Amino acid sequence: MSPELRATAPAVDFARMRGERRARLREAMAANGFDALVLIGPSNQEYAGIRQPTADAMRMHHEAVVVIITSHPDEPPFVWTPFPEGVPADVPPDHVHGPLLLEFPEGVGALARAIGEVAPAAARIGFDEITAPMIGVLPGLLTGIELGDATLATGAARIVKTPDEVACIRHSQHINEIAMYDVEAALRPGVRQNELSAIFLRGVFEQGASSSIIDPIWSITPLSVAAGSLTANGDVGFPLASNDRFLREGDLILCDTGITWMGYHSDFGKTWICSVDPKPTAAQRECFTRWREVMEAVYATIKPGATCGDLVRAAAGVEPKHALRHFYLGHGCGCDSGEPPFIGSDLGIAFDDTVELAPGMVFVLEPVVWRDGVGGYRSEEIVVVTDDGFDRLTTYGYSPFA
Amino acid sequence: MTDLLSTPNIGTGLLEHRDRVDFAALRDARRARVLTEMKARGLDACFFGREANARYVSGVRRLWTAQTRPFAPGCLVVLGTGEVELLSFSASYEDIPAEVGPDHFFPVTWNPMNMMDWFAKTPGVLDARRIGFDGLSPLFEGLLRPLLPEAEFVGVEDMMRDLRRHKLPAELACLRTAAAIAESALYATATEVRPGVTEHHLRAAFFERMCELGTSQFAQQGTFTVLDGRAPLRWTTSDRVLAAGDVVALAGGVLWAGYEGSLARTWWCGDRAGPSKAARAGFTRWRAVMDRVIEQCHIGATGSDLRAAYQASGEPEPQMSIAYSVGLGHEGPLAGPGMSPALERAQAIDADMVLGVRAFVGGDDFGFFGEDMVLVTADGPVPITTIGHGPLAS
Repeated sequence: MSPELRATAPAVDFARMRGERRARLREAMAANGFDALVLIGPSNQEYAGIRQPTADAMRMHHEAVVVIITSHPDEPPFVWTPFPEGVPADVPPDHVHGPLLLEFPEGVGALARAIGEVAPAAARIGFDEITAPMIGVLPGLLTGIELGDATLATGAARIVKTPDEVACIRHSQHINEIAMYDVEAALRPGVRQNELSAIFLRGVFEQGASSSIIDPIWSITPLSVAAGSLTANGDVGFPLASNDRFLREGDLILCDTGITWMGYHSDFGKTWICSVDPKPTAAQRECFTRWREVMEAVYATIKPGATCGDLVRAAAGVEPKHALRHFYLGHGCGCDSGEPPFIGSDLGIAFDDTVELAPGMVFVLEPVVWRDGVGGYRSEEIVVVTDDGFDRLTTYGYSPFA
Repeated sequence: MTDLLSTPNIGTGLLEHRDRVDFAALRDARRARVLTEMKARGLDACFFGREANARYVSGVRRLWTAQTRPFAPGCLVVLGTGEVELLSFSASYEDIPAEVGPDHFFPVTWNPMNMMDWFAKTPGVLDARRIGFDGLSPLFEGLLRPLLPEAEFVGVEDMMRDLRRHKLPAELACLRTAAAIAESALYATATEVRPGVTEHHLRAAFFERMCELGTSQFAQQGTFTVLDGRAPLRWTTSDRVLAAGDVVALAGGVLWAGYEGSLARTWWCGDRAGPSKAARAGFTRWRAVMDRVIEQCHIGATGSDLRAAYQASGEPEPQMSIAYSVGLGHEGPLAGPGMSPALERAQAIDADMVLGVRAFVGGDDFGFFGEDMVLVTADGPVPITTIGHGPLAS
């Protein structure tokens, strides 16, 4: 990768971003009646301003960070961590401790004592996760305290992004896209899935990505459902795990990759054709054209005050059947790549209608148009809702379809 | 032959794998161990939300993602029927082992009520009286308790940890393969260590080589950082440019067939003159700590003995764990920060365990960080990672 192709990091005021996020968390805590939150999930900790290295899930369970945030507006988070370098300067040293091992009963006991010390008057505390040694034990250790679901507060806080958060997502996506230009250039018959992953990971890490967060997907997609593997819903199987398969002339490739930068996720999905001279068939181009019509209808609907249900109806007005029934029309994107709200999922249109669009919400829209026997088209587009419409954070084009 | 013809696009590695590891037999053996232990603990069913546990009991190879995901019970095991039920993120049967029949997988859902319907329809769930979980969330606990009002919920991560820590022979073959990939990727990275490259470049080199070798799933995001012996090890790779005379920590881990290979080395960044005596001293001190700790990796020892060996070296204890079990991912620390003496004594070291052992030494000018995988045998500890340490050890 040539140096001029590297994404330049934006000027993000990280201290301001942390402060604004914590203020949003406390507002959501108040709305949900929480006196304190115990955050065990990495993305919620990230939102509270505490960073940590990303790893496989099992490693993260055992090298885990615990964050407690109280309702007091001036109280920095309390942190128990094996990675003190992930604690920003706005958290004073007396709030930072060695790790709590929540995979062992003694760590859960230590957590209960810690809660008594940092939130002694708490009547209602939210947890975002429950580790195995907590099961059936926690209420007895925290007598007199009502235990609740912290994700009610974290979800409400995280759904609207600050301008700094949007800048982070935009940069994360930029890094991801630059690496994908190299991958697309390598998409020739005879290349293997793991070789594409090599190009991709090299590209994102050279540019300073914090992490790759899903196994890069290069799904070799049959042109009909019947030609693919058995699926549980009679639909197209996607995303299929990558390995060392060879890509062959004419293969329809549905790709999907995602990285993080400073805790914020990208989400990149495109449809490509593997060939020395990739040329979609006329019928495949029609899928793409229809996909664009779906997107135009959805774009025309995005503005503050509309609901996610309006987006679903706009898409269905053009393309009644959404392929990949186990997926959705879209989802939120922030400290997780696929975070609430899920739009057009099996939660149902009544749920979609409860989510009203507001400036700062970031969505990944990923309709799929499928014509069995022809194949289909899928692309992911990240948008941020603005005061009068939306901005696009995805800039990558549509070759070889456009 | 029929099998080969029905799967014409299987890459090349799989053919090798079949020679090396009988995965169907391995899956059967692992599942049998889980069912036996469930019976011994009086568990009628278990819900597993953690990918490594789901993989241990079923062999499923779902889409890998980094970070812990919010808990979702995507794998269900019922003792009475011996059946495993799996949630498929792709809705496809492709990555589900053949012994989990096509009637026993369920497409991913965003609506937890659909999962409750799935559980309610699974024979043996509604009349289960004692159910194991490897984690939970307030959301799922709130949905599952009303569905299973008579059942006792029990945490079983300790059960899975104990099972997973004792390796079957085929698991050792997988671990050795993962370790070989990790070593190869780390060595490729070491050859990139030279003045003028960034830390980011080293990390890019590691992951590029890892993928070329056949796996794109990593165990950790890796640490590729210039050491300053006076400061703690810095975990986060940066855009710092390497200079002649730096020593650089190189730590990375990969997953192969779900099994982890992780190691760390510290490399000299310099010219033909080679490292100074002071730089080499870091390696000597590190080696002395590692030798003491690894000597204690024998049957009958505990995490407490590893801690004592580290302390006896006179080096300050590091901020990360001294030793942990390596297998289908990380299987918990044996000795390290946050553990009481009693908890470390409870971490028994036994035959066929694989331990990740690591040490960090600081100093006035240089530091040294290194990690190795060690197999515990009746004849004592056997190193699994064996690549050298380059100029600093010469």
